[in-house]
Amino acid sequence: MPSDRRARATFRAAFVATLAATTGCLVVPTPEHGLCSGKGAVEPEALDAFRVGRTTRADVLLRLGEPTDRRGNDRVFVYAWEVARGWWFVGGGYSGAAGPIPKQKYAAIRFDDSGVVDGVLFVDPSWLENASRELDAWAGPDAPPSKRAGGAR
Amino acid sequence: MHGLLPFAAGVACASLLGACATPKIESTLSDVSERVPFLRPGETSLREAFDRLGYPARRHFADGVYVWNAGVDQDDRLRIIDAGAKPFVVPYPWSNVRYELVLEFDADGTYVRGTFVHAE
Repeated sequence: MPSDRRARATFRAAFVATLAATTGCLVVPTPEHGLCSGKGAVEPEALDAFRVGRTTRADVLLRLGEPTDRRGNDRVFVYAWEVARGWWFVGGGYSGAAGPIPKQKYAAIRFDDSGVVDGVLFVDPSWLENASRELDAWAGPDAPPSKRAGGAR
Repeated sequence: MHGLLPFAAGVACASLLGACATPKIESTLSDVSERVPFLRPGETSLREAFDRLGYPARRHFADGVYVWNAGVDQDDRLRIIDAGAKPFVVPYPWSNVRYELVLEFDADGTYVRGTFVHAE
């Protein structure tokens, strides 16, 4: 039955062509926006307000609140948040899904032994950069907090 | 063609969303005396703050800084939302507005200054 076979092949080809035409994914880059995680963005200007050798840890806490991460017995405060830098869409037939493409950002403040700001870092990586690696290199290893009586808990 | 419509809508939505700003961390000094009137710089003790607000969520002993999680209810009244908050400070309901109440005390345990830090 060659005509049957031909009809079946035609149907299959039409089905695949229809599927290909109506199914797919899409990535739409956008300007950075929204907040995917974290309690808010720390603007570089906010970090500029912190003076090396003058601003204290209490000043930073009063200005930015509790940090996302504290390293090396409170020697480094890390504020991390994620913004959307684009959206992905997957569609097929009458259904589809979408979600933001997140971008991690960091602001880090380093303190000296007396609890005064020693340096600040703002990490705003490009698409292919690893933000956490730059932060780790600057902030040093995540040392466990010491057990001294005055240490933060 | 129906499969193309969601994509067209997606591009339009993404363009609109892209115009939304990222919320920033903001802190305000003036609100504290208005919303927490018992706090008086140079007078209020740490013990009194604990008695009135409950135990804080985070403590920075070395810096004399204590942090309470707080929300604002439908009537714009401050609510401490930490577990263990004092009974008169009703933990719920609170709206989606959330704050960290950050208070600094000196070495003698006397209130120095405080802020509300807006947190998403």
